[in-house]
Amino acid sequence: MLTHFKEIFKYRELLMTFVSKSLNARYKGSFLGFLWTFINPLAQLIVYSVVFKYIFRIQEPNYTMYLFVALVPWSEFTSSINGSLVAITGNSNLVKKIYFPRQLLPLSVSVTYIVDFVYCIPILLIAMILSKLNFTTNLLFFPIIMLIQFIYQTGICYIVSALNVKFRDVKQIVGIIIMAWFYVTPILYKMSMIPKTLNLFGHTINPQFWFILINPIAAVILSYRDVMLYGRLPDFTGLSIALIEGVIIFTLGYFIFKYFERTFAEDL
Amino acid sequence: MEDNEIAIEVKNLSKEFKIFKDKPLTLKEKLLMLRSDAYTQFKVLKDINLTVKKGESIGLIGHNGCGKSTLLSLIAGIMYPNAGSIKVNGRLSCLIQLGAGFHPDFTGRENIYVNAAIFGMKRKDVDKNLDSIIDFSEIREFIDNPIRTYSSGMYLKLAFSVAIHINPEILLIDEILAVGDTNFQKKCFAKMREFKRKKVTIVLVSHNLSSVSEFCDRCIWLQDGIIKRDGKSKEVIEQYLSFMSGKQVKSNEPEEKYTNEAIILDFQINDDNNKSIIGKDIKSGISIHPTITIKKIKEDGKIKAEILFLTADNQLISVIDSGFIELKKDETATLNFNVKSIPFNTGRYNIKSVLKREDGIECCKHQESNITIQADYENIGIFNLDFTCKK
Repeated sequence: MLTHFKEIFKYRELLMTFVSKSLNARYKGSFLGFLWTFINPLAQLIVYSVVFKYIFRIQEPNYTMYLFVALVPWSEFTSSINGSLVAITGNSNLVKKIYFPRQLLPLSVSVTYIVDFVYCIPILLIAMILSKLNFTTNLLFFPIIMLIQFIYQTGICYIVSALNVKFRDVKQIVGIIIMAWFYVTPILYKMSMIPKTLNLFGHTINPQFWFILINPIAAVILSYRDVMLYGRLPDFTGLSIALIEGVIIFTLGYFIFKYFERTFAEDL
Repeated sequence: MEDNEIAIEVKNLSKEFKIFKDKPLTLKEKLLMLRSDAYTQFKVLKDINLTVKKGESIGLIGHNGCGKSTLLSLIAGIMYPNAGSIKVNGRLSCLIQLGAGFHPDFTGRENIYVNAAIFGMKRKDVDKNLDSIIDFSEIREFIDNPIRTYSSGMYLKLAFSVAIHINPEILLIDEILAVGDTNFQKKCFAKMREFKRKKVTIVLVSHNLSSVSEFCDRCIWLQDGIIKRDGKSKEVIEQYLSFMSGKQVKSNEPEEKYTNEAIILDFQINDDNNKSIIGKDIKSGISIHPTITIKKIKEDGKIKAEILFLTADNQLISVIDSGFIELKKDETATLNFNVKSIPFNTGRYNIKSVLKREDGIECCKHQESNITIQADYENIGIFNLDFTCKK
């Protein structure tokens, strides 16, 4: 594993080139430029806040902001997965003809969207000021939460980019999974709306606990909300679970990628 | 041989491709078995052993599908072998694809950086070489335009210019030297020679045998996944060419295109001592005497005999002809040619005799012979000009 990290480090300039290339390419030729990244979560934000505030009548004092701090990281997360679907297949001319560490391609997608996320931070901060939220020292946990998201997200990017080479319909499957994932992640609703106990085949379980356990991104989203919206400490138990799972997914994803990588040049 | 003198070491290398009848491309097709998963194994490379010393330049030749490009991809690390090992000792650059990673919306200048990074070049090295890259590409005035506005020639020139400025220790090249106009090509070859002088190890895959023989000291002929010959470029290329021309004879053209109004009874080539030189080694520069005996078999008419001199890869060097002669039906004639000097270089040459009517249509199937010429000194090119030099 260490040699793999060394190789990535050796090619860090190429990684940065890939990242800046995809960032530049996205903003070149569209006069709205950077706003494009932002327009999708913004549209979602407007739709959801109208629907849930005025139709479903959610009891949450600052629901728009409640949604906003969750939708931005969620949209970066899903965009990176969608982007990594074509990380290898879309670069077949490179993969078939030139040697460079292939793991840079999905990694660069993940990094690109994290950078994108960083670009969004000023807007999040402005929104916080406008909604008169308190700035607390707990905001210092923000980068740590981001790091956990990054590790988890990169692992998933590795998996989907490699699988999509073998099976070209992984794209459709991923689309369905992301759609369902959105609803099992507490973005629109509150954790407290999930029942605390549930009787499953004679066993009493705590669905809230299982939500966090099987979906690390839920803990990540809740933590963003904790530090930005409520100005309190994030839930460290949830975050630790997310970190452990992130590392597991990253390692697993990396080795799945490495396994499939051997035949990339032939499968493309 | 010392370990540090070896640039590339290939041991017992094998590579197989799966040739699918109808490969399932999606999970749906795979699970529902909508498409047959059946495949046949195709062995592209069979147990290849190869050692390339540092500073050597090697040509890889062979017919299409013999595994040249696969071998190159394996050395470059693009593909993984099924068995065997490849050791590469030194910074390796692989010029298989030009303009890799070029983005149409970026300017030429921006694309130089992207492309160079993919080749593993550091940004500060690009900064240092930027002027030289732009000058070499000859498109300085357009360098800040997006490359979607470029013509394909400009695109390739820029791509090649970047490729040639990487500073490799081992260079793998696949058939990309034929870029741009003749002047640009000359520049490319000059640059390649410079690499060679700098003792860069070069592996060149090409069908252009003259550039291989000019450029590479050693040549490897791959045939059906095994190394058929490995040795001095000139010798290997010659063997390759005679092998390929042997294959051509088998696929002869139909005979209908001939009028069959006259035939070649005999075609001989003798030296001064009246001994046949066909199929034999002769010295460069001696005089030869081809003799053709012809017979008119249909109505009277004018015909001429031509003798064509061709290189082993069928490039026409020279033609001599008898001029038209009037022949009656069933009349035979013997045409004695005298060629004062045959100043060709070392190599195998084909000599064809052809009969033609006045309207240029061939009368019969040509007769073919070959001779092998040994020049006194090694030289490239086809001819040894008769020259002197005063000092």
